[in-house]
Amino acid sequence: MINIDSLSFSFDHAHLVLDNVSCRIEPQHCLAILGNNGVGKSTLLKCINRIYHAQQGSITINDTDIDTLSKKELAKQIAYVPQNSLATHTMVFDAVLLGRKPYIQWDISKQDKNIVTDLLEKFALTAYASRYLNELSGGEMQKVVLARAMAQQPQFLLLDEPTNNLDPRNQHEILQYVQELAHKQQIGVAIVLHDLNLALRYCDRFLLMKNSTVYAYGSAEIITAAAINEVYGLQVEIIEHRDTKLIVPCDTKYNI
Amino acid sequence: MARDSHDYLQTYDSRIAKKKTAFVLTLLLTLLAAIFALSLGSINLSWGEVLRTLLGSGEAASNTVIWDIRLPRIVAAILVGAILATSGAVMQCVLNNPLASASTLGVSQGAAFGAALGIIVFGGGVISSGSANVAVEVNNPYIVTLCAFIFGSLSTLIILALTRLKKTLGPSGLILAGVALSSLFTGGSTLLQYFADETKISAVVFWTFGNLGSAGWGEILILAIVFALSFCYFMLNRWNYNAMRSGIDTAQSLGVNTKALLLISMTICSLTAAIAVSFVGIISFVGLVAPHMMRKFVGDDYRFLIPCSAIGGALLLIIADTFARLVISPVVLPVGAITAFLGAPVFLILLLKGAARE
Ligand SMILES: Nc1ncnc2c1ncn2[C@@H]1O[C@H](COP(=O)(O)OP(=O)(O)O)[C@@H](O)[C@H]1O
Ligand SMILES: [Mg+2]
Repeated sequence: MINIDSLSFSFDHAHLVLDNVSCRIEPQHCLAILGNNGVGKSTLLKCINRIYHAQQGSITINDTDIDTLSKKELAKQIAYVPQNSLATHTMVFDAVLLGRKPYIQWDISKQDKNIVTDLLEKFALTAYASRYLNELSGGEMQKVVLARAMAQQPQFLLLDEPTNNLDPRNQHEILQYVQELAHKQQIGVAIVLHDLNLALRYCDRFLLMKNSTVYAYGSAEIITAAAINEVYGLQVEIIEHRDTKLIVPCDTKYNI
Repeated sequence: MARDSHDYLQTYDSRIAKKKTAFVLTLLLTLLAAIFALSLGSINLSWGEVLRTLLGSGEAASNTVIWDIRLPRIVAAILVGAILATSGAVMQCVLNNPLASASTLGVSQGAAFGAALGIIVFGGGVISSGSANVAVEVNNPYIVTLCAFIFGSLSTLIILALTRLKKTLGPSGLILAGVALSSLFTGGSTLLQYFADETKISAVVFWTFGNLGSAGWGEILILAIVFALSFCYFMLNRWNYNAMRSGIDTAQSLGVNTKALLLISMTICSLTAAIAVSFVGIISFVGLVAPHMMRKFVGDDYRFLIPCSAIGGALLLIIADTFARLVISPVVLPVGAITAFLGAPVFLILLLKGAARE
């Protein structure tokens, strides 16, 4: 379990981008991180991954402070897919192989190659193995970076807006896969999402962020019309459909 | 399914095999070019005589020509080419900038200014130069090298500070900064010349040209050690460079300490470039062109790009230097001018390609 305790972070020591944030990422669970643009969701993921170093508070992973782990050790436990991935002139096979980086001693092993092969099959990317990243569609690219993250064989997976620019089918495919990972492989997942209905459908823990801090944290019952109005300034109606909540925006006229 | 996966594992293996072949072929080509270059000059020697002399059973005259004049020059070309090209490949990666190299970022020019300053102001002394038509003699190479390193690093520091302070600078912006730094240091060198006496003026002029004939066996030994050490560091980090290409955030999440990698790599690059410049002057564009030439064959995979760039740089510089020696023989042209003619068009093509992509 990753335990985030009273985390505060700022870029310029003037105003806090994260203000006393606490939450947990548990194995077998999907945590949805929700909130407006600029509220600090990406920054939170980067702190967990030690790309940024929080000034206050602590992050432990299975009771070990992440600061005591080497970068390599951390990379074996936490995999991260950033909000924007660079589409470089790299072959898909090589890009996924890069996920083995924390395990490579001098050169790649047969096992490394097999892991990559399995992942390419799982993500239906075999036909693209010899294509270049800068020749892929958004959906294919997202699958490649997710496959690279899985090649790290992590216990925890951090995804920053993985459904951006994807068509509905791809959005569901990716999130279904991630949910399965959590349930079947005991991986702890945290996903930044903007689509509340997708979040409700595939996630079972929710972190609502407002003004750089936690507005609410818990299971699906914290997602209420009032909470959404507070966090997003959006008026919604929540209806039940086959045991899941469905969020429908009301006919409100907003002034831009 | 199983057959399928077998297929593209095979594709992967054959791709790797192709890259290895490219490496071996370039290596052979470079050896041939070196022997060819050894045989050509004011006295033409046969290939057989060249090989006999190298193996220690040549005639006295060929011994002098090869061991005292041509071989040091060609070994210097190999080492300097390899140093400039590997540091170019590494800078292009860590700065995420296809136009980066010691000469395009102003590192070489800074180092040349430092070298000039070392001679004129600190009276850095005289080493004998191997080639007869170079009048300048410098007898304390270490103060010259030290000054070259300090000012080469100054350029590097300014470049690094700019990338930190202004993230929107972009590849072309960084190169413009390099142009500004180059003019600054070239202007500085001109001023030094203005106030210096005549022998020292020629020293400064000599530094801004680039001449491989000025390196003796002592300098070659230093160049070899410097190259070996930097090459080891680069090779040990080849997977880190591969990771770095997919972006800072991704590289960090794959366990790369990107800040340390950037700082150490850039320090090594400016140190090696400064040492090369203080021994043989500014040789521009080899660091830019050689990695791009080799990318055509081995792609952006730094496992292969680093060693291939080293060989490619060596090959390029042997060819340029042989051309410089022979084109209006017996006059030896400054090799820096030849590489500039070679490199400028490539630089423009890259610039146009990059501009189209942005
Ligand atoms: N590198 C940076 N330097 C300074 N401020 C930043 C940087 N990255 C993000 N910010 C600021 O931090 C805040 C949170 O950003 P971010 O975590 O990216 O938000 P989001 O929730 O949309 O992912 C924003 O106000 C943003 O402007
Ligand atoms: Mg974000």
